Amino acid sequence: ADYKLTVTLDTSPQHVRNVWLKDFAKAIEDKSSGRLEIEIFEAAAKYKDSEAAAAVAQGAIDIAMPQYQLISRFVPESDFEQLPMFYGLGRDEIYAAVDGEVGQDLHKRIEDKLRVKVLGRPIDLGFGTVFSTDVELKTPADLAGLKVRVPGGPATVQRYETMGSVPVQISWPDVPQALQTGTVSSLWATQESVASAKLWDAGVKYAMEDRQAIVQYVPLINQRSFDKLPEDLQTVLLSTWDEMVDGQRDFAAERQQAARDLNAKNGIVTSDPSEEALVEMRQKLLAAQPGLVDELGIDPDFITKLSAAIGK
Amino acid sequence: MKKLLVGLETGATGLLALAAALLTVSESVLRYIAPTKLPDWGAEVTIYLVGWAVMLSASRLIRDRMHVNVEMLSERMTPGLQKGLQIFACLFGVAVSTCIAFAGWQMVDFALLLGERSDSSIRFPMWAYYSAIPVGFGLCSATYFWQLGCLLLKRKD
Amino acid sequence: MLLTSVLILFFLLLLAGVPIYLVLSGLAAMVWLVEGDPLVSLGQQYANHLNSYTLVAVPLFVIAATFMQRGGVARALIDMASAWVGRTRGALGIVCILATAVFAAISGSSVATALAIGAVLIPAMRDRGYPISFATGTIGAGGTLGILIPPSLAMLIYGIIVDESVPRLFLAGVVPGLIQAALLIAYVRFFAVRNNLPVEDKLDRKQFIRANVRAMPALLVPVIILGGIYSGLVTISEAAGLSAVVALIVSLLFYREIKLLDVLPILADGVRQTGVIIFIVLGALTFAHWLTGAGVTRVLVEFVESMDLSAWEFLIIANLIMFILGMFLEVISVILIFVPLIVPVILQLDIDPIHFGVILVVNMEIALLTPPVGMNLFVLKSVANTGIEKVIKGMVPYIILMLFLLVFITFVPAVSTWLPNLVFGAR
Ligand code: NA
Ligand code: NA
Repeated sequence: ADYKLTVTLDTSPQHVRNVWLKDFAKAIEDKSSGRLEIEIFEAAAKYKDSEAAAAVAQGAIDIAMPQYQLISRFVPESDFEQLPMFYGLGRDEIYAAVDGEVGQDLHKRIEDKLRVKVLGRPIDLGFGTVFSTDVELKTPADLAGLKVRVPGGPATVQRYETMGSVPVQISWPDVPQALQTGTVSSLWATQESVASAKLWDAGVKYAMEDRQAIVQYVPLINQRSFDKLPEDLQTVLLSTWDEMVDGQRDFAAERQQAARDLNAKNGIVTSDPSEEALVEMRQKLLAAQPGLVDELGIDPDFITKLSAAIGK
Repeated sequence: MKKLLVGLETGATGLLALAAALLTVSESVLRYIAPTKLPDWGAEVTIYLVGWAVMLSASRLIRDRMHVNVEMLSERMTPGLQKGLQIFACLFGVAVSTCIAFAGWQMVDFALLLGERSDSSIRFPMWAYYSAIPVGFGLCSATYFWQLGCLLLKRKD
Repeated sequence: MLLTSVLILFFLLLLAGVPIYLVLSGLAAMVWLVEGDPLVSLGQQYANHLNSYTLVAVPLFVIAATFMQRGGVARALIDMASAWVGRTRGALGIVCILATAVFAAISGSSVATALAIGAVLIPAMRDRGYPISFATGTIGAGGTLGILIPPSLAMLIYGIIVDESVPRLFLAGVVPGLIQAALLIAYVRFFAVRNNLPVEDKLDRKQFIRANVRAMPALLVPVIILGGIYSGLVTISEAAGLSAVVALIVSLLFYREIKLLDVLPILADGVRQTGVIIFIVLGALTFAHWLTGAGVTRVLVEFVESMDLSAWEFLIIANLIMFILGMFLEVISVILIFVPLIVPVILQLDIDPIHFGVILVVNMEIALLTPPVGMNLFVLKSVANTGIEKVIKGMVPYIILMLFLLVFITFVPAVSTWLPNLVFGAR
């Protein structure tokens, strides 16, 4: 290949993002007639995702695709999907906002701050799901009083505090033990993570899909690495990405559904709360939003645009 | 002067370590008695305390020859050769530590430029933590430089 | 090409007596410059690797060990063991193994364990006419239990690299640790009878009770720490903090061998001992970052695949490599350099990372005892104030014994995985 771009991922080879990215790399190779190669470093061989955005900005690696939330250390607005106004929204409502003007506004902020280029629309991991060991979860109100393992971040922590539960931060390898010893009785994770860790063995019996927040990965490429490519390859990169995003999102959703089925086979009962219950919880959470926006240091103008975009 | 510096180093690293130990313990106690009062920055601040404590001890580690090295070959050499190797090790130390201190300083500069903050609710400015790296390796560099001077001027350090 | 020159340089610098941390950092800086990677990301690597909550446990465990080493805990444990087994032949040898085993359940470091017990027992054994090489050998070998019986700094660092549950790893070391202690006691008995080593004075009832009571606070420390971890009340890092604070209180208020004014210097000393480890960690991880990027891991995985090795064959080769690395490098550096390279292979061959962790740790125990670089050798040389040749000579039978243990641990995974699977459920 005449040109090579390196990508860092911290997820394992079977992860939806890795599987899809290999297809993407293959497509790029085909469409560029082998002139552009994408080399993937998986399983945090190069960087953890939390370090990846800085690594791209510093030019230590060409491409990373961290969760939006992980860029909030540089651009506070990147925490937007964690905000109460996103609680309970469906995929299409979220895509409309993210793929529209507000998304472009956000990407512009990321590009200016980190001196990177955002390759295109974000791809999905999917919605987080709440799981519990012995309390059956049917509506969001059932979460009150539970000790929930959360991945961290002020917005997530505050969401659980508003719901009346106790958010606890525990490293992922220690989660099975924490569930068994009762340090936590609940966790927020994806159907797929729970399936791959076989958490039914650790006593997980119930789940609820209240669509608290979606996890999306935003593709960042170092500006200089991008500028080095001839124009036709730049176009191949951008257009291939845009063509493949929709398929990826469906693929991610299928994978989550398959994991939900597998979890069901192993005795985990997942419920889908009613629209009214979701709206009610969103209203409750929204009361805390202004304080949160302030704490996170998010530009109020951005919030105004965002509210308009999702109409909530 | 030297005594004062040694005392300062001991006091500062000791206090930082004590704070780290007390913070972790109070975290576990608090989680038990008042879980809702548990701040989300405990682990993070512990890391900052320990990171700074370790980096501040850098100079002393070199002076007290605490770092692990292989001596079996150099032990069997003539005094002249031994001194040559010591001078080489000091030169190597100055070069490497200065390089990493410089790289670390660039990183601090970068974090300042981007206004990088931690993920927790205290939104800690990361440059303040990152500075431990250039400071630590800067101390290494200065200590090796000092030892080099002592070796060349045939003085005891 | 670059890789070969880097490896040659690595050994040359090491032999020239340059400290390991500086060799690793120097090579990391060199490859950064040669490859033209932005220097800012070299600095960022150091900060990223320092930014780990699990790593915080290292200084806290070391500080706890330092307090207990200075604070009279070792003496209390030795007196208690002596009260129980004092009337058998070669009693001090057996006391040594029992006391190191218990001290190992408090301290995460082998060096601290050998140092603490050795400082008290070596003069005592010398007085009673034990051969000095036997004394140093027994303490050196017993001291290695420090990283097999939980808590363990070696397992902690392995857990960080492979992202494995540290409590599970800790538990996996318990049964192998007890087996090792039993093996060592058996050898001590054998040696004692053959060489007609002395027995200790008989204690009266009052002395016996006193020795036991005095050891209670020391025994309480592992109960608090391990109990806290396995009940899920505290995380590993919190347990480390807790052990530091409890050790401080016990040695300050109960044994009273340290004064309030000693506290800050001891804390600072613990930080320095940790600094030695952490500077190596930073250099090694940054160097390993380049190794991975240079495709060494991939080549290794492909090589193992092409050889079509079974898990057993691979483990034998891995053991040989670790043994050789362990002769020349300090334990933490071996773990940091070797493990990231072979983790993909372990997973590929379906070897349980918990089982491999125990194999690694037993191998590293041996590394502590083998010349030319064996930390326990150095410690005992200075504690016993004797020649390194004598210390090495005394170590030989124990190294052979440990090799038997290593083979056993390697080929019987259940010894390691049984207890954690029992407690946390099989995977
Ligand atoms: Na231990
Ligand atoms: Na060795």
